[in-house]
Amino acid sequence: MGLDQIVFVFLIVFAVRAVFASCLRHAIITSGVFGLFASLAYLLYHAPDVAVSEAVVASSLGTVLLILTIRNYDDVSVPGIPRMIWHRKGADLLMLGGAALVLFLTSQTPQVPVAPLKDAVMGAYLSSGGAVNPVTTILLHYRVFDTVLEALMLLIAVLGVVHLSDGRGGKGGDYGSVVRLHPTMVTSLRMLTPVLIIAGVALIVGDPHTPGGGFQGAGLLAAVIVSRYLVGRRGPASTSGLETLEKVIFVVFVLSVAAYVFAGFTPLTGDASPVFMIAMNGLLGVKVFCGLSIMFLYFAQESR
Amino acid sequence: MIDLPFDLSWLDGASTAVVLFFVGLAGVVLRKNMMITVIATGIMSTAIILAFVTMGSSPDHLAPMTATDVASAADPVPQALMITSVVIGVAVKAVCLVLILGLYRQHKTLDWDEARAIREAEGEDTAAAPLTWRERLDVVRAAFRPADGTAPPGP
Repeated sequence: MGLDQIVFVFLIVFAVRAVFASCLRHAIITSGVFGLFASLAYLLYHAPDVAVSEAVVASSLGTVLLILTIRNYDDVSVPGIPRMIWHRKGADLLMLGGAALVLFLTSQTPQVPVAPLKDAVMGAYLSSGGAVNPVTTILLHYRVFDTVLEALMLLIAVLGVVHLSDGRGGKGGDYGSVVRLHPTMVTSLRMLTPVLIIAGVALIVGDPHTPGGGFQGAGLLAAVIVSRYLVGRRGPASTSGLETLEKVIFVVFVLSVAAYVFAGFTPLTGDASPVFMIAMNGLLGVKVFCGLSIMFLYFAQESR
Repeated sequence: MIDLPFDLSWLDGASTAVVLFFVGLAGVVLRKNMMITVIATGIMSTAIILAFVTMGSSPDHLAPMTATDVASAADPVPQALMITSVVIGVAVKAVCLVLILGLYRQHKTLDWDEARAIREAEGEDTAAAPLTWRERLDVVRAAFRPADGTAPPGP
C-alpha cells in the first residue's frame, strides 16, 4: 500500500463526507479539504502544473466562493440521510449497481498504451535541450486557440455573474447598468471584438493543416454575439433571416458533400484536397455560427 | 509501504475516479440541497481530472519537466488538457452559485423540491393545472403542425 493509495482512501472518505454532510458549512470545508487531497494526488502522479491549478483555483477560490454564497443564509442545515432515502427509493441501489458495473469494466479494460502524441511532445522537448516546461508548451503552442477560448470563457463567465447579480434575482433586471457600473470590462470587450472576429474568420478559412476549423471559429464568432449582447447591444430583433440562411447553407453543405463523394473525390489518399477543406470549413462555420446565434438570441428573448 | 490485512492494490487512479464520480452522482441524485448539488458536481469534475491525470502516469514516472527520456516521463498531454478543465470548472461553479443566489432571493429556500412547490403555487393563479402526458403530446404535435389551424390527425 503506497502513499498514493492512502491519498485515494482519504479522497473517497472526504468526498462521501462532503456530499452526505448534514450542515452546509461542514460540506463546504470538507470539499475544500477534498480539493487539497486531490491536489496531492496529482502531485504524486507527477502533474505539478495541474496540482498547483487545483490547489490555487479550485480548492481555495472555489471554497471561498461557496462560503461567500452561504454567508447570508439563515438556515444552513441540510435534511439528513433518513429523509433523503425515503424520498428517493431505489435510486441509491441503482447508483451502487452502476458503480459496481463500471468498476468491474474498468478493472477488465487493459491499460491505455502510450500515445504517439506523448512521444512527439516529449521528443521535441528533450531534443530542444529542455528549455521550457512541456505542459506550458502544449498550452501556449499546440493548443493556443483553446487557451484563447478559455480566457474568453472566463471573461464571459465574469460578465454573466455581473449580469445575474445586478438583477437581484428578480425579474426585469436593468441590463443597461452593466455599462455604467463596469465600464472597464465593457471597454475591454469592445476592444477585443475585432480581434475575436479576425481570429474566428482565420480559424474558419485558414490553413487546413493548422488547428481549428469551422466549429471552433464559428464558436468564437458566436461568442462575439453573446458578449455584445451582454454589454448591452441587443442584436437583431428577428432571427428569421439567420434561420433561412442556416437552412440554405445546410442544403448546400449536404449537396457539396454528396457531389464530392459521388464525383469520385473520396479521400482515399488520406489527405483531402485543401480547396475542399477550406470550402467545407467555410460552409460549416457559417452554419454553426447561425445555429449558435439563433439559439442564444432565442433564449435571450425568452428571458427578457 | 504499509502492510495491511486487506488488499488495496485495486485502488489505482481509474478505480478511485470511478468511485468518486459515483459519489458525486449520488449527491446530485439523492440530496435535494442546491449547494450540495454544486459541491457534488465539483467532485464529479475532480474525478474526471483524476482519471485523465493518472492515465499516462504512475508514482514511478518522472514529471515531464525533469524527465531525461520519453519512456520514464509522465504524459504531458492529459495534464495540459486538465489545466483548462480546472479553470473552466471554477467559472461554471461561479455562474451556478450566482443563479442559486438569485433563486434564494426569490424563493427563500435552498431546497429544490421546496423551490419547485413555491413556483407551482405562484403559477396556479395564472396558469392551468399541470398537463397530463396526452395533453403534452398534443402540445408537441401542435408545435410541429403548420400554423394554419388544421386539425391534428386522430390517435
